Amino acid sequence: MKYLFFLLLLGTIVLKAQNYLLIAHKDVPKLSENQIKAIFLKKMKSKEGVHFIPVNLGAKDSTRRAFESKYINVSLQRLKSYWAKQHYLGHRPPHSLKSQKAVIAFITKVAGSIGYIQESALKNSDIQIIFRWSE
Amino acid sequence: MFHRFFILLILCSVLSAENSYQLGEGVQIDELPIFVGGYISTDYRYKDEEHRFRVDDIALLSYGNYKALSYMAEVEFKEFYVLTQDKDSTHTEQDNKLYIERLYLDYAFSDALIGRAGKYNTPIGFWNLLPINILRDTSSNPITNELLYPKFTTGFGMEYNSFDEGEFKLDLMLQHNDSLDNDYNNYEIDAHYGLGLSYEYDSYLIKLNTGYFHKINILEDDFAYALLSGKYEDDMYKLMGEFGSQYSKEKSDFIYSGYLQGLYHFNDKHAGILRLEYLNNTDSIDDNIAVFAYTYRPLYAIALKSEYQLHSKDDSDQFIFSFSVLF
Repeated sequence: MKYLFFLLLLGTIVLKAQNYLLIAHKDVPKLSENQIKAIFLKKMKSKEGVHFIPVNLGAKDSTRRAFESKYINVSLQRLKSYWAKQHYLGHRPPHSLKSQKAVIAFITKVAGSIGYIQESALKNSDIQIIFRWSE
Repeated sequence: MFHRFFILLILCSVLSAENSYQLGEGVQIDELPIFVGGYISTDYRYKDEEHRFRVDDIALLSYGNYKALSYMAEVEFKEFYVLTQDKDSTHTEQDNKLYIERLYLDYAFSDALIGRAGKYNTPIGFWNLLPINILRDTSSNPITNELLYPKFTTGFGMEYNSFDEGEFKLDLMLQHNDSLDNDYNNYEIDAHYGLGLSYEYDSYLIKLNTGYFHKINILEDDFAYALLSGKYEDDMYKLMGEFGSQYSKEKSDFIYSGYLQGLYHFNDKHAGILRLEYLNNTDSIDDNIAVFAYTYRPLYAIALKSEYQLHSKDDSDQFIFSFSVLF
């Protein structure tokens, strides 16, 4: 009975796991996880001649939370502190787009762009998948 | 006149700005690449049987960019209202002058190389780049960052930045002219040549600054300085330390100063800080300071801070409470 309950629980978790994609325009070169963090913090601006344009989803979007938890990997308060300091220094966070559809459209068209979506939202194969992760 | 026009421009801009405003992030003016923000800071200090209340900073800033060109303009009322009270008397002072805190243009020659012209915060150490109360860990600055180098530079600057797995940065500071609005710079200078190197990897940052400046107020003098800074930071802890020295050509003497600071986040809103500072000077104004501080941030852009400073120097112990907001 105990094992059955455990298997049911595991099955539920697996079924509920969400897959996410880090996507980029076709011209974006290979990147490490450290470099992705630096791009979204606007510390790394280019590589191999490609100028990066990171795009976010809205501040309260669950996909953005999943991305920040996986790749930025600092507490929300620390991230707010970072951008408040950048505001004083005259730097802005990445531009936010309203939907995953908008992120895909933007990345398809704009060279150097990089963003994230849920895997289920991807219909277009004309973009590059950099990383795939689950939560 | 320029100041009043600037404030009017900012107020008009804010009134027509976007609705989705979040405190501490500034606002964008319509769809233009122009942003405005500001900050205020008030504090109360009790020292040597004297109470002091200040509305210290009321500042407005604006920045933006067009292609490779960007600008920063910041004006500020400094010590706008000061009330002091001791056993015998009460004084109030007001300074209604609007100071130019920062005013510069940046030109990005490439993603890695930026040139700067104008008045800017001297990019030395950890505290001087973010010298406003709301962005600091404590209400007060470590004495190391008040004494060794000029806080503002008016002239040219250059920043070279390179990121691979870590971030390398090189800063050059060049002033060979009078300063812009020098009234509350810690040194009145007409020359400053500085160099900074820093490397950040993961949670670690190390920085080295060195330079020379020429002071023109009170006693004219030439100074050389060096500062070594190190920091570790994660979500719970921040450990940092800076140690530096300044050499006075006129007096042929050295000042040595440094501090070690630990910060612990009890949670997202509450943090406790302990800082131990050291100052040694041949003019015999040595001081050792222990700072015990507590900071509460209901939102990151709002801070209520208290601190108690214990000094080895007589009659210098003090309690400070401050309230600051970034908008």
